[in-house]
Amino acid sequence: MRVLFDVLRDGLAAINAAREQMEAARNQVATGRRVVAPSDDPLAMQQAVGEYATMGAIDAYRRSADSAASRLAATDTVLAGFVDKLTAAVVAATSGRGSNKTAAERSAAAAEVRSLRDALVGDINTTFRGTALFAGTRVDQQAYVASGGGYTYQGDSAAVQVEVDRGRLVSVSYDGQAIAQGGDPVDVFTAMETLAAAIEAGDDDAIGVGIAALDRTFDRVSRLQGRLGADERGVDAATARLSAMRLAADGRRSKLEDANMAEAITRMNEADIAYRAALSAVSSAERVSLLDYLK
Amino acid sequence: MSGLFESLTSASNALNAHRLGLDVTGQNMANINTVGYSRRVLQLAEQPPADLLSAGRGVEVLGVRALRDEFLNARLRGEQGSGAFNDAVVESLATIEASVGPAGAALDQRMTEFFDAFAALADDVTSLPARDGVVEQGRLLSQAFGDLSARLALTRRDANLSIRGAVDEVNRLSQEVAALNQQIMANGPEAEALRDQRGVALARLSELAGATVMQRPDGAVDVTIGQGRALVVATNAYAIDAQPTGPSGDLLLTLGGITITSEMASGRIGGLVHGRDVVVPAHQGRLDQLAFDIATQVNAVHTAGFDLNGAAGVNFFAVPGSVAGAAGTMAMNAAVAADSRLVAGSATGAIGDNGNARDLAALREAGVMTGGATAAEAWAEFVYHVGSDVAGARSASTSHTQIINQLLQLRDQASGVSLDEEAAHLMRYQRAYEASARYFTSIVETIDTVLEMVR
Repeated sequence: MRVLFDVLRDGLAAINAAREQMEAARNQVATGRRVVAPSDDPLAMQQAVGEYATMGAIDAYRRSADSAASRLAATDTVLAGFVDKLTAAVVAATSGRGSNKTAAERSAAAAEVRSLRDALVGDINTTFRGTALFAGTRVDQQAYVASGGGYTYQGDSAAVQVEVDRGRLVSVSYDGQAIAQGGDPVDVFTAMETLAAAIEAGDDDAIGVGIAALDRTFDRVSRLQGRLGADERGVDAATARLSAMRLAADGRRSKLEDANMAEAITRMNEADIAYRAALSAVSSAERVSLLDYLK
Repeated sequence: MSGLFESLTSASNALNAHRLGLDVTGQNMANINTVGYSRRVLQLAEQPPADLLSAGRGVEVLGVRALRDEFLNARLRGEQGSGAFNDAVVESLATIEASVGPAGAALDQRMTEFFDAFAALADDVTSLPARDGVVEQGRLLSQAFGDLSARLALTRRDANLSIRGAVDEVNRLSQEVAALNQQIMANGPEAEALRDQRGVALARLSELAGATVMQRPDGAVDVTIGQGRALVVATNAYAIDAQPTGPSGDLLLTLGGITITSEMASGRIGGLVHGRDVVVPAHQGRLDQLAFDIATQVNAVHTAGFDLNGAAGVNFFAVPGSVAGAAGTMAMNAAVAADSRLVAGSATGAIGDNGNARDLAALREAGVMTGGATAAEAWAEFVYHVGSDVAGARSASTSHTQIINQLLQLRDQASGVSLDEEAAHLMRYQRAYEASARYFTSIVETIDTVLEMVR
């Protein structure tokens, strides 16, 4: 049989094939990725797109969880201050109670109560990154403003909620009226003004009514602190779960996309040997022919 | 004496025959690198003796024949047409694949960042920077769809340019084949060389247009393309006409007044037409559907909410007129693009409510695209189709290349020039020439001896 070797066709085809394999292996080693273009492994690429989308969603939830955690921490601090001030107001009111108190002592106690009331108004109007924490969804409004000798709630009863994980919503704004007034006929700030007046007047019964109003407010704030604590723990749990999920998704992505470096390096070395062999084989082809032996 | 002179003639014929053998060998060696050259062989025959008492009258040259295997050539042309078809499809798809980009860093990244912007808005719904972020990401997403759609359109435009070039070459080659037919029919001395030239032209015609060749008894060939449309009939060539048609400007191919565009199922032109009319539109359709679904779904949720002014939400994206072309024309609603306060993040109308922003962010994982897929899944499907089409076409192309190489090797076994073989022929004809020359000298010396006898 006549067997012909065409250097241009057969030789270059062999060299090109070996070179292509070497470049592919070298690319994998250099980039660390097995799948770069869709045609490298269409199914793996399709699944990798899904994993990237999953990681994107997880990252968004984590950012929301971080943001919610910051707001919850700020709210927690405000509520702690609230409790301290309510406690201080009860102490001040109690110190102004009794028939043995002088007018000056009662006046000082009343002034203390009013001062604490003003501080509480400041607390309930706290804003975090420009949005009110205790005005419900009317985050651009102050929760309470003084008007006509009393206080008016400008927020609403709804809450701003943030999704910190799939289907898990956490409130990051609160109904200030539910805290300051609850089921009482007047809000705690008005009650404190009445209390201060009762202390000045030496009206122990009215002082008792005022202290009871402070106690109820204390209870409402404590209940909210409990809920807030649960939410904070929930956010922490969600963050931990999201981190684990992201790690898992990234692992799946890596299995789909990334090159097995040991295998890739071995393949690159094999391809390099094959390339050199092809070069050598082609260069030696037709180096000798019958013409060399004709005299 | 007359017998000796016949011997001289016999020796002279042998010298001529072996010199011709050397010439044929030289011709083969000279054309070892000539594309399409079929090796030549010298055909010799014995000159039979005139009667029982004579040895014979030497050798006779019957002719110089080119060794061709027409069956192999026909198979080769068929495979070359199919191979060129797949190569052209790969060419079209490679451009699309390059436009798709890697996972997590292509259009899917834009979609992720788009929905991220709504999630960030939900975290702080009154924040103007967050609103500006939503508008910017909406603009970037529209732009990404537009860019990809434009690249697909560019692929079609490039296909038309390539089709135009291929058609021009086919028309030139068909004229060349018709002219060669005429010369071959005239049966000139260069017939074998002309057949080689025609073989090269026919191979190229098959590559370009998947041509089918039919041998005629008079030595000419007829060439047809598509569903048996005559391109060359003996000495007549018929030109393919390529005219732009419709708003796309796609080239419509006609031959003899008959539209043959859809008949081109082989060759480079067939592959380019297939890529332009089937492959690219299929991917364009999927992209348009995805853009249409995203725009429609986002608009539906957005219009259910309220903006920062407390007014009912307007469309976030300009309403796409139809699925076809939705990716190319995707754009933000100009009013929302100009004023981010119009982003409808609130579900109740309360400024701080973020219910609608949450709903918009939740579209990321909602199976509301066509077929119940999420946006990422729809994109992943698009990527999968591009990848599998490219891999399939590339695999078919590689397979055809291997078949073509094997057929070329088979053809070379019959028609190719081997230096070793030609060296052997060279030696054989040289030795035969030397022997014939020696025989000639011997006869001359014998004649001299006879002449000496009469002196």
